[in-house]
Amino acid sequence: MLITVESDTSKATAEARELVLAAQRGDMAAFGGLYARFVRFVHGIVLARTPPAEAEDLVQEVFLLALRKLKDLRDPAAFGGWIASIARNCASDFHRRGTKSVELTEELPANVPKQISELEAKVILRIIQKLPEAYRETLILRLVEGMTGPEIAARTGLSHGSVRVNLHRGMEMLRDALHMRLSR
Amino acid sequence: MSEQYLWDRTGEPDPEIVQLEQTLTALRMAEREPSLVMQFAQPQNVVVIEKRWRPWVFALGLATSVVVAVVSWMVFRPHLQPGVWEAHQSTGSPELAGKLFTQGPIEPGAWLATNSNSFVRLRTTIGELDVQPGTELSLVESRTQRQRFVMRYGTIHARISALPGLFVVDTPSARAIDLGCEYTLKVERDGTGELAVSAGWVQLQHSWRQSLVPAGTLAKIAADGTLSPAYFQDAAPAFQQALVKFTLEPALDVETRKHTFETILREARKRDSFTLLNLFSRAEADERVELFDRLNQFVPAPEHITREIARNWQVSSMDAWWPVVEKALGLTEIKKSGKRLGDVE
Repeated sequence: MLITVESDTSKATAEARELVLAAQRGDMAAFGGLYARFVRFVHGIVLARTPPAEAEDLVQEVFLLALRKLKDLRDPAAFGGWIASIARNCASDFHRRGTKSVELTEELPANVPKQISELEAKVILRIIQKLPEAYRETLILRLVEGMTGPEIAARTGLSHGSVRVNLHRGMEMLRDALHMRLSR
Repeated sequence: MSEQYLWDRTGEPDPEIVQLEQTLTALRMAEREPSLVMQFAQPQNVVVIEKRWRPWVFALGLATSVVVAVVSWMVFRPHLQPGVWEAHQSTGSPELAGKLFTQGPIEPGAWLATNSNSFVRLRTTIGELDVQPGTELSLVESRTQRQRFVMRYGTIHARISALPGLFVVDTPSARAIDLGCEYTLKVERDGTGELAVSAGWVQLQHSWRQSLVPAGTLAKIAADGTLSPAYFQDAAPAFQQALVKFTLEPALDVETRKHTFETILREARKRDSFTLLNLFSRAEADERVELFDRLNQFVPAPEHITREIARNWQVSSMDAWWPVVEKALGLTEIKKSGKRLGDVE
């Protein structure tokens, strides 16, 4: 089973590599393929650092920069890690620009309703954003973007073991933080 | 904590993780946009201020406007400006914000409407947009990173050459994201619609649902935002009908669902493999095994994708089959050449 999953991962990487090579030759459809495969991943990376209301615009900014710089990417197989760096830099630039955003109080409304609410989601996101970087990215990719561990490994270039550890530790820290809030 | 569920969503679901997934899905990219319903529900905010004009003021104003318009037209005619959509060609009596509109730029936020005899071709640096008769739409975002129209109903034909994701059209039920392409989008007043792609491909999405629509195929949109997989326009009529029924009609009874699914499998051709591959996410465990068998007849699965993998399908289970199917159908070459899939066989 492990071999199968690792095999899927390497095939996904190989597929991305082919798309990068084609996009570097000017094939816009191939770049479209990269966009479709990586857009959730990039959104997750950005969301780990910025308010949700800003994330989508920053995602567009990331892909715009990626298109401009794609010819400089020497190892096409490293596209995931490369575009993740661009996403992190764009998020940092966003904060350096001093763009104002609404600060959440982290206080859940009384009698938290069971139904899904965006407010509740934003409060939890804010808690995740305070976790160490490796954990918050992995958790957001898993819990917000719906990616599985093997998918996260394929996109980030991390080993399955590292992603497993990040997920496990991040989830433990998130649980502790959520339980602390409930017990306050 | 269920380690296995946290890892790849297999094994026994962990209730706390499931709850977190459900809550946080609200922040997923496709779901973060402001409610489209609100945008479509709001009437036009057009404020008309009536003033009494003296005749000479009117004449002077008119003369000045004509001079300014002519000079502007002569100076700016050859240049298209990024983010500015201008009427390049029109017939009939299209209206912008309730006034006749036959040339010049469209104002962001104003509604452009064509009646049954009107047509407008809009143009900007990234491409052209034909607004067909009986359409109402508005440019709501015009920035370097995003050109976004909202369309209430009607038909548009877009020819875009831009960064994927830059050109977006929102309809009451779905969002069409251009990935470098040419397409026609039809939207009925009840929110149902259809997207037909002529070149390149388009990502159609509503909430977490998404359908990738390549050249030569079309996808249907239900009023609630459910999307059909893309299918070829020359597929057997019985295949098309069954596919739309299976994917768009909610809560089919067991017998009807079984019969509909059998029709899809029976009527499918090798060319429909692309559509079949899209059905794994919509099928139940036993159906997925049948789907695997049928698709495997047309385009053999990579060795590691087995019936058991199909039965226990997850989001990435079929990833390695995609390039094989695309290659078998010649889709990769068509993407590069910009032709329709039908042109090649």
